[in-house]
Amino acid sequence: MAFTIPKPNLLIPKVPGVLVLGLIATQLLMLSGGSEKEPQCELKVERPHLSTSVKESRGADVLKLNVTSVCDAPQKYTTIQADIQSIHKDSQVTAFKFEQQTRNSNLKEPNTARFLGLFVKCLPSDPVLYQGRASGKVLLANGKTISVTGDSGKFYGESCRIGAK
Amino acid sequence: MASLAELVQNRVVNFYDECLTLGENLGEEERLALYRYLYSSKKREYKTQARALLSQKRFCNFIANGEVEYKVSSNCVEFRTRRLDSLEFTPVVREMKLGLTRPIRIRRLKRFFAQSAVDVIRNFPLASADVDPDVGFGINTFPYYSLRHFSNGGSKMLGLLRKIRTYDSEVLVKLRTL
Repeated sequence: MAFTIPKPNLLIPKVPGVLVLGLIATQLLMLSGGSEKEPQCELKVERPHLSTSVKESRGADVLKLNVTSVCDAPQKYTTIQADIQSIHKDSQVTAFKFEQQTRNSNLKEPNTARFLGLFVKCLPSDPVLYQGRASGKVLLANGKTISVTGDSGKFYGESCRIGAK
Repeated sequence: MASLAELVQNRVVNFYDECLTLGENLGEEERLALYRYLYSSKKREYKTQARALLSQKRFCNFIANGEVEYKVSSNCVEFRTRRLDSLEFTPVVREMKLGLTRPIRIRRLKRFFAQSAVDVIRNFPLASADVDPDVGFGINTFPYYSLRHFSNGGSKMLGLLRKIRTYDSEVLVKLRTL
């Protein structure tokens, strides 16, 4: 008994060519989009310190907090909420909360916003442990918003007490 | 001649003049006091400026080491500024909605002028060794004329309660008396 194996007709495509091309194009687009790096920003918070410049110019003891917002892409401005934490009676408390601040980047450093003028009066005392904290949002030049947060790390002592009478 | 020289004294610098030189060394309390002082002491001047701005839609003024440009368009006022030795103006720093009636518009503009003056004094103080011209323009996110300033971005009701509880600071008294 003879039987014949049916020949596959290779000339008739099973999937329409336009669809195949479309799928390939979509995949290429997705791959190219995935490799584009998202801009990153960070908030650098220095430890609260007694300001020598304010002491020299105004004769007042103040505890100053320097905060810098740095991105790897140009930014328009950064808005932050900063505070100073201290150790009081064996627990961490907010010693001072600053007003919310907004600062533009500038032409020389389009990726950076430097916050100045974050200081609070204090009175000389035994050393008190302080830490600086800040959080906020960066508006990038491309219109995207990035949330940022940072702190100064370890608590350091300064011989000045906020709110001391 | 020597005795004559001994008699010559420097004029006592009043506290407002000193504030014009302090820039970023003005503390939070001092900036608020400065706003209140400017708003109350320059009411007449600001009223004249508000009328000029409403009729001409554009108005320029000089404060400390800066020039300020105000613009009114479609019930909104905005300002931008530049350091006197710079050609570049900042982007728009603040904007505020004006009211529907002229008296409300003038009252709001007076507050806006006082707030912008504080912003410019803070960023472009008169000649001072501490000024770094390469630092971007910095402001309080919530202006002093907004109740949200007093709640630091919280609700207006909380802001109103806190505003009522605030009293004239020592700095404001100093500004008014010295």
